[in-house]
Amino acid sequence: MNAMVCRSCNWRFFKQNLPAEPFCPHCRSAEVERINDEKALDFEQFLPFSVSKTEFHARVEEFSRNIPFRPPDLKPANLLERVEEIFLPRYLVDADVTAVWQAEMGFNYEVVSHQEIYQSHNWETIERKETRINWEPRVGRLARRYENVPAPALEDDKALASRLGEYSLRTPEPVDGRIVEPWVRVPDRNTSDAWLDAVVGLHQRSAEDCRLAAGADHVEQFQWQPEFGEKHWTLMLVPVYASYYLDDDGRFLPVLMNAQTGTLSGVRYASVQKARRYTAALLIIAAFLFGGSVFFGVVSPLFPIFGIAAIILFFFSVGCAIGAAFPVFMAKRFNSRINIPPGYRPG
Amino acid sequence: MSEFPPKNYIRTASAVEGIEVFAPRPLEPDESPEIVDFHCPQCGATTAYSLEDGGLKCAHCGYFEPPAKEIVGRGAQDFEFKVEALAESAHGWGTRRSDLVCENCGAETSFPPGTLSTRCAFCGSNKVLQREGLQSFLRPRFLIPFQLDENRSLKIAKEWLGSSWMVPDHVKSNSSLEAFTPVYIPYWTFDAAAFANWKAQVGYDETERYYDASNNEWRTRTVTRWRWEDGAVRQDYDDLLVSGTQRISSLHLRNIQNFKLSELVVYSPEYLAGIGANAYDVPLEPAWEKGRYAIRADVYNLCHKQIKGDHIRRFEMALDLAEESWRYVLLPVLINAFYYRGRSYRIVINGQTGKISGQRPVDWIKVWLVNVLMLAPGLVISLLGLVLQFGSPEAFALFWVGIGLLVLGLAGMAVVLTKASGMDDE
Repeated sequence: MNAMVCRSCNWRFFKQNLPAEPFCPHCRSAEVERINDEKALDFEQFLPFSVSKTEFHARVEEFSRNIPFRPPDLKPANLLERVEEIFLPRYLVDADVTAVWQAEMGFNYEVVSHQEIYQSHNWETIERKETRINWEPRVGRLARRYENVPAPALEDDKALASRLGEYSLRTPEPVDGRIVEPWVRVPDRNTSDAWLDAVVGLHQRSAEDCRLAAGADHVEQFQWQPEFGEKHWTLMLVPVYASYYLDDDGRFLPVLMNAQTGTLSGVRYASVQKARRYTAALLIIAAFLFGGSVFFGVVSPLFPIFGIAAIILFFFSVGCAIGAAFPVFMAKRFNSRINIPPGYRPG
Repeated sequence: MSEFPPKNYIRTASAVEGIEVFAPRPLEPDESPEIVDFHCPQCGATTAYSLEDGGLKCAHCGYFEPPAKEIVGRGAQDFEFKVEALAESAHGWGTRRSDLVCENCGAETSFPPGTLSTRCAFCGSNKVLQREGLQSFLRPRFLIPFQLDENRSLKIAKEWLGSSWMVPDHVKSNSSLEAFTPVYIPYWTFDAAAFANWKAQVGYDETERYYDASNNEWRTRTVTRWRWEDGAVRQDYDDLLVSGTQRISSLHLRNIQNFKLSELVVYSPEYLAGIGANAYDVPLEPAWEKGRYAIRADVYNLCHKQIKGDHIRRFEMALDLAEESWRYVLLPVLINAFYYRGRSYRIVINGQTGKISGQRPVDWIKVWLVNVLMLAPGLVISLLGLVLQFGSPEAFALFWVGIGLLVLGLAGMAVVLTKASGMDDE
């Protein structure tokens, strides 16, 4: 198997045809190491890249808007040029479930309330309908087979999901032996670890099915005593666009996008260097103004009118000098709010 | 879950294959007999609720059984205005009659719609119909038991008839006034929280001086200064009573409506044994409409009380009702009807508090005699004054005294006639 591990971000990838000079498509580190993994990855289904590159361009444009002193490298064209397609793995489990369950089921009902309006010596009644919920206990037995219950195959799956949002697993396509061109991240959890998360998914599906069975509109406090059988595991691939831009020090700042929904996640960084240039420009202007102020001050005994000009220029120079501190302050303040997500190691 | 399904849970329909659903058994299963007959466990004779003793009593052997009196008072369960409740109550009782076989004598008896209690025409056994309600929530759940017996009510009625001089003496001493009939009247009780916002132009009278150029003098006049004002009123309504029947005059029911709902008890058929009771014939929605009219009139007055000005115009008010709820109860009333000169007069007494209202015949001869007596002094004195003034001009003052007395007499006559004409209002 053509697999490698990134020494920088520790992500493991598989690619059908590894490039001659391998790099990490996530953090762009060149510190990667080929690994010999004998295990074959049995990908059965994948979600296609449904977000177009044009849309990627538009989302990056939106992402970079309102960043003060935007880094020169943060241009949609740059990010689009560097984009890599990555598949993230996710387990799907099928299982027979038998359980005794109990829950509070909520049934909607409508009540009528009234408003009485008195205007121009006449009364008018307005009837309003309001939906309320009647909660009733229900118990039952369940014997069903659940298919394609997702479970995380990566340790950082939750962190990634919080950044990239959820994927709709309703329209998967079978891999069917086709060559998978993009990078595929190799799972770092085994099925026994993922089972606990799968049980949570099965619990949610069962609760929803029991709600439907009871004809209820809501379900709460769903408890069960389940037994599972006939478990079958498969791997599914979900698509991500990975790109980056460079900060002032030439470090990579990764940008990831959910290639199914278009949700974009990345570090929004303000260029301190750019801010410093603005500061320097303002200081130069302040110096010129101060020089002019001194000049007019010197000649003011001869031409008293220049005294006024000297005072005005002095105040302008002070204003510019004070204002010069703002660009750097703003940029640093903006950057202080950056919370670099786990997994990112700008190189 | 140690036991499955848990006790008192029954299987219900499931919309999903492979899932069984069990729900708590309904609290009010239709397991109660359609008709409850009341027999004495000692001698087998028919028992009936005794107003005097406050329980089931056998007139034959004297057996007595007090009812399980579960007082719930104002804490009695009330219901929300569910859309389905309004729709169901509007269906009414229709015209269907219940044909049921008397378990006592085997005779087939027909009951009119809406009947809650009756007596078998063949064996005289008392019956309480349990399933006449269209829906469980539209059955009476609470009632106030009778606290007044027939004798006491008869005494109250005689005192009431005798309390007015306008009632004919023959009626006052009427020993033929028959015993009162106890009946349970259906009532709706309503709760609501009212929030009202009002605004109006309020006028304040002010006196100002002005110069009248035509008369060349200073005068005063009153002018009204108008300004917009607004305010808010919050008022809770608890157990607003609206009668659920049209069979008894709403005027008289309103007069005796001082029921103490703190003495509400949980409905039990024993209370209705041998006592007339009918279900509502004013459905929930029209009854609540009446209740809302009363609330809005009350809130309207409360808003006006907040206004301190001398005049009000362009008054507008928006009244929001929240936490609207209702209860269906049976309240005790004793009814009597008697005939006087070919006309029927009805008396109703609150079976809990003893308050009385009704129609009373009027002895119009007596009334007109009193009117004449009231007018006579004025007429006589004024005429005397008129005659005597020819001899002595000072006697003309006597004429004016007579006119004054005549005016007083006319006012008294108007009062007496108004009262007399209202005595037999239905």
